[in-house]
Amino acid sequence: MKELNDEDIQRLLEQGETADDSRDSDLYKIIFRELKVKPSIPAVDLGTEVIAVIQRKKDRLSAIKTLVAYCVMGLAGIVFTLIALLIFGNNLFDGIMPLNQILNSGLFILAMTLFALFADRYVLSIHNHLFNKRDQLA
Amino acid sequence: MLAEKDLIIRIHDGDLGAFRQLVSEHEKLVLYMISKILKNEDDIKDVSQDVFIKVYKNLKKFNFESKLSTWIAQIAYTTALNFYKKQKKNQTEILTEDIKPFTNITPEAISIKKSDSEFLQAQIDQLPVIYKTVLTLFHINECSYQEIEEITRLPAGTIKSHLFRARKILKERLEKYLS
Repeated sequence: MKELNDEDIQRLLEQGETADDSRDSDLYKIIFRELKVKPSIPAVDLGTEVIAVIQRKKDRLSAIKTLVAYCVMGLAGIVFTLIALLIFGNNLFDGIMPLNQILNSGLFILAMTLFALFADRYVLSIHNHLFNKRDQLA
Repeated sequence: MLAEKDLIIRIHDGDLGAFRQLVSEHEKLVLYMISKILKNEDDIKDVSQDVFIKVYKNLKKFNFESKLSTWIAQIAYTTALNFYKKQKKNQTEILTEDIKPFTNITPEAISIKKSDSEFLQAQIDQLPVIYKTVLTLFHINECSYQEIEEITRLPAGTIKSHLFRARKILKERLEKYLS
């Protein structure tokens, strides 16, 4: 019987068939067995780590969006006031309330806005923390 | 266990639990592949993480034309290879990488080896990256030739030739080692 060459032996072993009993076949059998050995891989909780990174990116994006929204609102307020001043002149606020009261109201609204902003971030971080825990438990 | 399509739909809807399932189903495939290309454990972890972040970002582009595992393996292969190239700072090295001659191993070094298995694993580690990658995809991840073609974007003929040559080199070395 004609002896099998390297190519024939490899093809037969790939197909899960047993090659002949030659020395080459025996060597290839050892190699095929060894190539199936799974390498040792680092013990990592990839799921948790990847989700934490994604969550951080999402939070950062949401914070940027919120900031942009507040900036747009502030800018719109300034533009609106400037237009109103252009139309009605310097006496715009005279009939409504004195200047110091306007300033006080403005500061109060600013403080409330900042409070709302921080409260929103705080609630969001608690929410994320709770959901991460739930995901980890699941 | 959710079907692949349902899983992807849920991930599109923002379900991170579904994405966690996708990661756990494919992490071994990615880790086996990357650990054959990179040696440092921290690099393996970082690149694997990077792979799944890319998967998350690009999942909308997945068109179900191939298996999800093939698509993920393709991302893993490209990411790991780019990382390896950056480390080596020589983009042509992978293709021209020389196969270390067996004569470099002294008889003393051979005698220290404990078993055929350890000897062969050491020899596999010394093969060029592209050989190790196709061997891992074929033997460990049990990918078909067509899948390896999609992952590595190499022609089927080249893949077959790499597999044949890699195994032949190992056979020749094992033969010398045992004689």
